[in-house]
Amino acid sequence: MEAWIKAIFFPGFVFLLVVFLMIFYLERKILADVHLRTGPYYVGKWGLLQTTADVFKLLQKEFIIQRRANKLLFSLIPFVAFLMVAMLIAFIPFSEHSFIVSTSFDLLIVLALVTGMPPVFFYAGWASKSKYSFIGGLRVVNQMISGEIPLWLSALAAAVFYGTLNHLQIVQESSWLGFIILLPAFLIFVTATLIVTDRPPFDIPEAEQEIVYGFLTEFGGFNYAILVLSKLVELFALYSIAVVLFLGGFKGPVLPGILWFFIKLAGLYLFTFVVRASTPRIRMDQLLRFCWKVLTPLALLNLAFIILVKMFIS
Amino acid sequence: MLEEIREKLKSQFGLESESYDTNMLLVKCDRNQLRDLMKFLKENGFNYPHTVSVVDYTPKGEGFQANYVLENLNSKKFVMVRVSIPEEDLTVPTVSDIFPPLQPHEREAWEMFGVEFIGNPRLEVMLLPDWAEGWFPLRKSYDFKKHRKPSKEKK
Amino acid sequence: MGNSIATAGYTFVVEESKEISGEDLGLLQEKLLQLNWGVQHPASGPMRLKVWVDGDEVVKVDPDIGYVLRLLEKLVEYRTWINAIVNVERACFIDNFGTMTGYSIAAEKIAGVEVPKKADYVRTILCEGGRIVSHLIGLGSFVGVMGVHTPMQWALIAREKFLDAFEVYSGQRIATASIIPGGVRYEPTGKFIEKMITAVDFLEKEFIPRYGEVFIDNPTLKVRSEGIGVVPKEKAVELGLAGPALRASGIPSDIRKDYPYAAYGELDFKVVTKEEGDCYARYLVIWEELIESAKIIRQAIEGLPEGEWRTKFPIKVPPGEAYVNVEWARGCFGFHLISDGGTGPYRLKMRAPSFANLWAMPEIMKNVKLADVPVIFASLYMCHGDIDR
Repeated sequence: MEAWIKAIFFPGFVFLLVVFLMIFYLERKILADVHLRTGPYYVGKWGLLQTTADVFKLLQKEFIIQRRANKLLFSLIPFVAFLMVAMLIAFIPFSEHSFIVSTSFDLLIVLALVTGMPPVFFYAGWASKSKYSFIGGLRVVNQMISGEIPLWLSALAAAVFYGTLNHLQIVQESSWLGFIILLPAFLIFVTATLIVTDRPPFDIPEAEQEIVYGFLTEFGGFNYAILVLSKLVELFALYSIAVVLFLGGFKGPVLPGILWFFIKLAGLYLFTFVVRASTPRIRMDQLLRFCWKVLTPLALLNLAFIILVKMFIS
Repeated sequence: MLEEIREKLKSQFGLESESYDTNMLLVKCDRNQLRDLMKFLKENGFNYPHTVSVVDYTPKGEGFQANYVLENLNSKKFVMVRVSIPEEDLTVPTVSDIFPPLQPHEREAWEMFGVEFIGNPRLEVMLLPDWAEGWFPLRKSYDFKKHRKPSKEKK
Repeated sequence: MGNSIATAGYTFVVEESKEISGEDLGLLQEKLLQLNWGVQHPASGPMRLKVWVDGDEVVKVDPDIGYVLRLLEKLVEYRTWINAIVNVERACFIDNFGTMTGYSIAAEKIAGVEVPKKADYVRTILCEGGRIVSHLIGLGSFVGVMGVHTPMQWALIAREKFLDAFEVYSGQRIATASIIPGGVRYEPTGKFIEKMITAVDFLEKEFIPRYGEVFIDNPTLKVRSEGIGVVPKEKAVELGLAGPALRASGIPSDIRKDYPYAAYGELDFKVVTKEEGDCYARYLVIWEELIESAKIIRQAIEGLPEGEWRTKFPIKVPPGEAYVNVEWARGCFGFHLISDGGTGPYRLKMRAPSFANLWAMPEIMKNVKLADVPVIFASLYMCHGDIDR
């Protein structure tokens, strides 16, 4: 397959759009199940088209810019954010052959792009010139920076263990032994992912009971859709990285690789949704204390442990 | 418990009190005595204020009446202190420094009846809209028709 | 209106470009930032809290109320003795039986009317039903302000069963207008009792175990609410807290026990108190009262006597007055009712527990974090209709 077909269709844009609609549908269904209600039901078979309808509703909406807002930044930021996270997808091998590019610095680029997100979201809040958005933007920066350090440290633990930054090689070298040794790193990585992408219970920047909707307050219609989508893509990309680094990627018996990849991913998502349905949001100062006093030292110790293991194995 | 209070009130303030209900004592007092009486009651355990209930008796020619309801949380007894206010001079000394929870209740009584609680730090419009200050809607003399907004004519 | 730029697929209007200077930013330069927590806000309800924050710390809170003012106390003066229940129950629609009972008892005291025993029992059943309905919403909204909507959904399912029972009894689900001076308005039929038992069964067998497993002793919930908004025993009296908030500070104040009205004197139940006085304690008080209420309903249904359920209430009531307290779901509700010998109340003063709690709140909210504002607000368990009346 040619690279540009890949980028547009199979592991690329169209495929991902369908996957996201499915994930969104799954989230609503699972949440509804925990809530003991039905969830989407009427549009399409089993309500499958409900999310599509919602997205189209968002696209039709008026494009509103607040009078005091910084117009250029306000209209530009959603696209910048989406571009930045969409690039992450290019480096993920969904199966042995379905990936868009593969370089020897895959992991490094992904992590660097994720680290670039806080200023984007901060400017989204700042450009709105609204009090709630501004506080939301400040909170995003606070939270993401404190979450990214454990993220880096735990991801690099895997890189050190396998001795490479290339995703494909990491998947090929993965084994049960590697899974067990990297288990602590995996747990730290998933927690840090929840923090970085502000999913519940760490959805502090968009705590609607405190600051309405954080940096998303003033956005509407298409802009809002794209900003929310970029946050979803970020979560999807980081979970895919977790699958690649710690869960053996597309490896698995009988079924084709791509199915195994998505089964593993669905497991992670299921965990996210159940946590969302049962865990209250924590406070900013508690989160910072948790990040800097618990998660970061643990990640550092874990890295030291991996280096020690590496010394004995090789 | 209530008997003790009744005797103390008689000896210290010279006030007659009657039983209002099985658990409540009704004390009628003068405006000038109110603050001393409230301080005395607070020292004697009636430290949980319920409300200030103002009653408009102007159609009967008896002016206004302010009822302070206090509870003793240990013995579960109530005291109602009743102050009558003449129509010409609608002022009562505030008790919001003795019982801080009564401050918003006094504020509400002021905006609904126009009884001025002298010394209350915050007599501002609370429940009514700003433009309705001074309407005193709970007074018997308040006329709904006078304040009704003219309805829009049908086109 | 400036120039409109057409870009791919949509148009948007850009106002004439105005230089945004440093002053215009405002928020960066003011030391204290005033946040309007309400009126249109996901968690506030129809009221506004002006919150002044310094960074993440709350410096001062000032409630701005009156958005649902209906002036019920005035409206009552234009009604007859029995019609007035319609206004009284609208003090707060969530638990309307408590307020109706209080008003009815006050009117009966003035008129000297003795209520049949069956009416007392039915009032108890309805009051406790209303309390459960109210507490369910209280639990749901307390956890709801921390971003979890599961409890509210579960609570609404359990609430629905009670509303069904009320519907069978009075024909209405929420504003039932079913308790009147002189007894209760409708005969408690077998179908109503059956529905009530179904509802209590669902609550005790399904809701309470399921909810207790997940949201009581939930570690994250404890992290968020333990030690927040602490009100010690003396402070609670000084601030004039009411209802579950007062009991959570260790003061066993419950009118049902202190001065039993309706049939509470003949039933066995305990007053729930906690010593800690923080948000979590207030939450637990609501939770345990819910369990107690279910037991009371079972007892009242068992002891339901035979006989009449209402007596004749006179059209004209002799002059007199009464002050009656009832333990409503959100605290001690006082009714100061005055009659001048007419066909309707001369004056009714309602002492609202939520009003007392609301004005104690600014004191409790000093020097907390911004994220604690909704938690404390929800834990004080206020009803907006009750605050404004």
